[in-house]
Amino acid sequence: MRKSWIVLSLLLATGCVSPVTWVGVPVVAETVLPGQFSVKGQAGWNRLDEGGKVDRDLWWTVNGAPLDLVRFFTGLAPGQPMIQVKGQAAQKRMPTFQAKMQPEEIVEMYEALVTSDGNTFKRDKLAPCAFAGGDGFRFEFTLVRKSDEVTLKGAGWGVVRNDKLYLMVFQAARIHYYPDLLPKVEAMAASARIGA
Amino acid sequence: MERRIFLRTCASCGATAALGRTLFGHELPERIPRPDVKTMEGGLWAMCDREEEKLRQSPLRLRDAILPAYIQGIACRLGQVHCPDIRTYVMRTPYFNANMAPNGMMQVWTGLLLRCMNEAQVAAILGHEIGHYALRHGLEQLKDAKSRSAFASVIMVIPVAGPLAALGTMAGGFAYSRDHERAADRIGLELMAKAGYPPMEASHVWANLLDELKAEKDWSGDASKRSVMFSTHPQEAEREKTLQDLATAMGGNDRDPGVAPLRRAIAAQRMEWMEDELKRRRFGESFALFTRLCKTEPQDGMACYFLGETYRLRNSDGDLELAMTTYAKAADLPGVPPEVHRAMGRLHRKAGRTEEMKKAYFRYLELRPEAEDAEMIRSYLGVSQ
Ligand SMILES: [Zn+2]
Repeated sequence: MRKSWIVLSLLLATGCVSPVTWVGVPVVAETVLPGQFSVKGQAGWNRLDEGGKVDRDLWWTVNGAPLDLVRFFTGLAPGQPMIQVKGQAAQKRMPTFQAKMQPEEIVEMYEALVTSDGNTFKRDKLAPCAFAGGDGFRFEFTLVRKSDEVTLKGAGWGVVRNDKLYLMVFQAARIHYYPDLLPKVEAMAASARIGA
Repeated sequence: MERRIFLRTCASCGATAALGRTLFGHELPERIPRPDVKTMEGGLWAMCDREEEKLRQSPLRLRDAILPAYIQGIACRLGQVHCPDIRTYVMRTPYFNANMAPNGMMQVWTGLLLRCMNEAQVAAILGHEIGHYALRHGLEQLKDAKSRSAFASVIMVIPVAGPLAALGTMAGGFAYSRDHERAADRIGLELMAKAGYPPMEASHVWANLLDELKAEKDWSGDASKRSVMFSTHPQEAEREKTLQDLATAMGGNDRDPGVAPLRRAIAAQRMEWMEDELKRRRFGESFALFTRLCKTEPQDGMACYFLGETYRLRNSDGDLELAMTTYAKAADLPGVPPEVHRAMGRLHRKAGRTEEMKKAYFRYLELRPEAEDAEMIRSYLGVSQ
């Protein structure tokens, strides 16, 4: 009962975004993403293709982006922002990746991306973690979305390789979606690989 | 402490004569009865009631035992007979805003409380909003045909979005007229004076806010009035001056503005709000804010640490050096959070100063052994679990 109400309100809240194409993620040993980054796809996941979106920020979902979402930032080079923004002030405020960034600064950069419209973000955990064959890090967070005040939980994995950032972040509604999908996303993160 | 007792006593005995003369001579109108649902005012109230219910449920509403009661107390002392009809809600959101709906619901955002330098400045905003309420400006606006169509579009928007998101839209449709603003300003000053506050603080609120917006414009080039408050309260060049002149004429500006009571009431949450502030990434505004806090209270270790954080995040030429100097200064001040040592450790690590890095990070771990990033920090130190 409660869950269906949440789904409905979330769908309503996002009902007016531009049309997005859902493409099923192939369940093969490796799905190669831009930046020579690859993960093992799983049944049920879809890639969201939106016109004009830069290829460095890829979105995968099972039930729709407001409910659950995995974002991949693959091969971000020094000086690049996580997403392109228009306007002088917005560009000034959007942090860019630097090769010398420490994990907490990379998390801070992601935080800036998802809180720019007033969401509240709290980092719950940050620890070293092997990722994509390197000494990376793993973080967890809680996000309250301002538009509908839904609480989301998240987990992210990242590594800097050859001065480039590879980051995979999962976030989903705290009720049901996060605990339900986390084991699958953990498996996906464990399968991540960089290189041809 | 003395200050609080003083205020309470004054409010309860209504000893207004002793507290300086009133300039405009008008008393607050009587309490506003709940209107009939069939009337236009009744419809307005019904909508506000619905919003209030959402506000009550909001995860952003502060529910601690101290601060909401403190704010309600200020509103009550200012609102006099209207006290039983005023319900205040403190919302955790890092923007400068407060507003009061026609049904008596008042929202105060934490970004406003962080920016107020003393209790009198909080009272200045609350008094102004109570002025709009007691004079029923909301209803008058609604009677205006132009606002009515804006109002209709507001009703369309609200059921979907959260109350905070809706507020901006609602504010857009509800900009008060200049006459209403002037009247609310005057009533606000008078309520401040009657409650024992120095009226001059009202002009300081606007001066500080304009100062921040200017700093933001200088840094980012953003000339828009980002504050929600300014979408409903157009900044007039002469407003600050008018408030100043009126306060001078009223007198009583040597009264204690109440720095300590406000600081005590927000103490538990102040650090979170400062973090929220920086997350907006309006580093021009934040720089002006933290500089002001540090200058006013040079022993404020927390504000000084966050000034250092502003330098680090702004990261313009020479900012990292300035961040380091500021952290180092903050580290010796009272009230500085342990995170200052982590911040210094990070800069030392990047600069390859291993010994200094170790010293700073160990100090952080000593003070925050249970930190959520302790594992990460230990890995920087080469220490296993
Ligand atoms: Zn006003």
